[in-house]
Amino acid sequence: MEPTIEKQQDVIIIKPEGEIDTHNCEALKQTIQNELQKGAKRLLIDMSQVSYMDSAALGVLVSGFKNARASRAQFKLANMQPAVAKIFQLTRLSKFFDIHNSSDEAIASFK
Amino acid sequence: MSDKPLKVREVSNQELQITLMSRNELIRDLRQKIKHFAKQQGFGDDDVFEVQLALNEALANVIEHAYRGDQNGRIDVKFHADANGDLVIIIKDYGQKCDPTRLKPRDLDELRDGGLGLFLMEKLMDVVQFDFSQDDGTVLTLIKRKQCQKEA
Repeated sequence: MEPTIEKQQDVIIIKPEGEIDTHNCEALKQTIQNELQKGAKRLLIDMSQVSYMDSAALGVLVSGFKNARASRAQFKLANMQPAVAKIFQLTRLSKFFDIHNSSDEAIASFK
Repeated sequence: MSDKPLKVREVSNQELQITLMSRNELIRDLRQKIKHFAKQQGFGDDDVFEVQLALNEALANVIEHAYRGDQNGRIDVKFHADANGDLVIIIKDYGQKCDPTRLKPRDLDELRDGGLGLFLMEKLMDVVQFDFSQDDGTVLTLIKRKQCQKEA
C-alpha cells in the first residue's frame, strides 16, 4: 500500500501502513525520494500504523535518512510500535535516527 | 517444483513442512505460518516476533543470494518442535552456495542500508547454523529454545 502524505506547517508527514518488508518496501523508498526531489526540507515518518518491519524496510529508512542529509533536509521518525522500536534497538539504529514518541513532539522539534 | 508457489504439509502437531518458490511475496505467508506454529507450541508474543523476523531474514537472504532473484528456485522449510519443546526451523535451498568466509555480521557502528539479515538472525535465535556440505545448495538451521533467557 502507498504511504499517505500530509503537510503540517512546513513538515511533510509520510505515513506508511501495515507490514513493511523486502517485497513491498519500494513504495516507501519512492515516496521519500519523491518528496526530497520536490524540495522537502522537513520530513517526518509517522510509524504509528507500521506493525512489522524487516531489515530491507530498515534499509529504506537508512537510505532515506542519508539522502535527506545529502539534501540538507531534516528527517525524523515518530510513533513507533514496540515491536518496530525493538528492531531499531537491536540493530543500534536508534542512535543514528531522531526518534520521537509522538508526531506533535517531532513537529515541534524541527529547527 | 510444481506450478504451485507454496505447498504445505502438516506432518503432525509438532511438524510442518513447506515448499515454496523463491519469491519475496511469499515471505509474508511464511511469517503467518511460523506465528501460528510457534504460538501452538506455547511460545510467547516476544519470542514469536523474534522467530518471525529471523525466518523472514533467512528467506530473504536465500532469495537474494542463493537464487539471485530467480523466482522459480525451490526452498524447503521445516518447522519442528523437538522433545525439549525447542522450535527448530530448517531451511534448505538448491541455489548457489555463498562463501562461508564472507558470512559475518557487519559492523553496527556504520550507517549502511543493508547487511543486517545475518546479524538479526544471530541476535534473535539461540542457534544459527549453516551446512554447506550438501552436494546442492545450503541447509540453514535456526533454533529458538523454549526456556532460554538470552542476554540482551
